[in-house]
Order: sequence, then C-alpha cells, then structure tokens
Amino acid sequence: MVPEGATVEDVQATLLARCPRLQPVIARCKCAVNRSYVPAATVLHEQDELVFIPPIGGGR
Amino acid sequence: MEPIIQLTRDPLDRDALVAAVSHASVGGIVVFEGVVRDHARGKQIRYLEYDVYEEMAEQQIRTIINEAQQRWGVERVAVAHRFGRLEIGEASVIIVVASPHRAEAFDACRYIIDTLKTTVPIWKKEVAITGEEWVEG
Repeated sequence: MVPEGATVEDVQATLLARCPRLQPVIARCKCAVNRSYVPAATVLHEQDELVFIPPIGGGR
Repeated sequence: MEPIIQLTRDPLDRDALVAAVSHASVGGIVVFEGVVRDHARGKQIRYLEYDVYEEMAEQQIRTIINEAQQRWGVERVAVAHRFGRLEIGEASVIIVVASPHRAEAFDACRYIIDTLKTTVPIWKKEVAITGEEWVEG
C-alpha cells in the first residue's frame, strides 16, 4: 500500500528502503504504468499497474 | 487493414505473414527478418532465450505501427516476435510492410524494427559456450 498521491518515484524509494540490493538494477530501469512508459514523477492511482523495465536487449 | 501482431513461442511463419498483407493494391512488400547468429562480441553462441512482458509488448508494437502508418501512410503491416529458446538460424522477429510503392515500405519497415529494438519490453539472453548473460541495448 502507498499513500494517496504517491508517485512512481515514491514507490521506487519505498522498494529500495526495503530491499537495498535492488539499487543497481532499479537505477537502470524505465518505469511503465498501465503498460505505457511514464516519467518517475507520475502520480499513481487506485488499481494502477506499475512496472520497472530493465534495459532492453537490442542488437544492431 | 488492422495490423497483425504476433507474440509466440512457436516458429515464425514468414509466408503466412506475407500472404496476410498481400493485396491487389500492393506494389511492393518489404520483409525484415531477424535471425539468431552464432557469435556475439567474440563469444560463440549456443542458443538465445527471449523473454517478453507480453501485454505491454503488444501495446508498444501497436503504437510503433500506428506511428509508421501515420508517417508513411502504409496500411498493411505485420509484426511477429518469437520468445522462449531459439536455435542458431531461427527467426526471432519478422516485420512485413506492403504498400503501393517501395520507398514507403522500406522506410516504415526500417523505422519499425529500429524502434521495436529500443522500446518494446523483450529481453534477450545469450547462452554461449563460456556462460550466459542478459544482453543490454
């Protein structure tokens, strides 16, 4: 549970406080809410799906 | 026509995708096929493993196709990506764009594959003789 008005960044910080070992991974992730990329300052709403996306494997 | 988007563990069927975009109004069909190669950055590859965040990948591919359609007016597009374990020589991705003239089809196809590689949540693990690693950008 996160408080009303919490942002993607807030959730990230909460996760890191609970599990500091995530730091190197989370630092390189992009954020997506409800399956679209969003900036970290995005405010979350009830039932939102927040996902941290690690770097995507490309190829040239 | 509605774009065709496939995310599947099964081998990709290039002929079926080409047939699906074919139409009497079409003068050119461009196909890009990405295949698993036996080497990467000095390593000898045994096989690749692709993982996908399916729901978002499909939505993201749809967005890319929409952008290509608006920009180049291409109406007939199919994109298929395979995931799971792929052997050397197998196709991991196929993009097919059909249009009345070739220039738009080439440009749109190039845009779709380049953008897909950087924004669609699909990850690739290289399993080499010497070990394995998830590949970044």
